[in-house]
Amino acid sequence: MHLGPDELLEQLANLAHAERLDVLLDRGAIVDAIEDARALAARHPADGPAATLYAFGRRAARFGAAGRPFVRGLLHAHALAIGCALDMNDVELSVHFARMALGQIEYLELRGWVAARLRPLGQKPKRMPPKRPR
Amino acid sequence: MERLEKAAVRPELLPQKGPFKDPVQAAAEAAQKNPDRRSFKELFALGMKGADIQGLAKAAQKYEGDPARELADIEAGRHPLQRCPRAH
Repeated sequence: MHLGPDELLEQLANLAHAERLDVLLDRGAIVDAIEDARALAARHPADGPAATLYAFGRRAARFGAAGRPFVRGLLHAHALAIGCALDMNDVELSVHFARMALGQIEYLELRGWVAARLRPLGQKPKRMPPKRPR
Repeated sequence: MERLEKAAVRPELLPQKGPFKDPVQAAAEAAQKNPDRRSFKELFALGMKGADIQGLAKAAQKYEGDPARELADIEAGRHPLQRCPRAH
C-alpha cells in the first residue's frame, strides 16, 4: 500500500472532523513516518502492517488526540491490503503505544507481535484457551 | 409455482447463487488489484470498525508525556479503554 502524505493527511483530518477530535496536521511527521515504514518493510511487503505501526505509532502524539485512532485505522487498513485481518484489541494496542513512547520496544519485537496476530481473510479467528481460575 | 415445476426439468430456471464473498475480503482483494485512493478510504473505514475511537483519543490526551503511568493504569485495570466493554 503506497500512499502519499497528502492522502494520509486528508484521512487524518477527515477522522478528526467526523469524531470531533483535537488534531495536529503535522506533514513533516507523516513524511518521516512514511519513509521509515517503507524502509522497514522494503524487503518483505508482508511486514507492512508492523512497519506502519512502528513508524506511525512512535509519532502518534505528534498528531494530537486523533493520532492513536488514526494509527489504529492505518494499521488495520494495511493488514487488509495484504489480505489479512488483525486479531488484537485496543488495550493491547495501547500497551504498545506506551512502550513505544518509552522506547521499551524495538521493531523486531513489534514485528513478531503483529505477525502472530495476522490472520488470512476467510480463516476463522483462533480461539483463545479459557483462562485458568485463580 | 409453475416456474418451480419447470425448473425441475430445466435447472437453469432455478435461482443461481454466486459464491459468497465476505465484504471485507472483497475490499481487500480489490485493494490488492487496484490500490488507489478510494480503496484506501474503504480499507481505512473497515479498519476502524469496532474501534473505540473516543477511548483511544482520551487515552492519548490523558497519558501524553507519561507513558509509564499508562502502563501502570493498564496493569491496575484503570485505563479508559478498560472501562469500555467494546475494547475487550
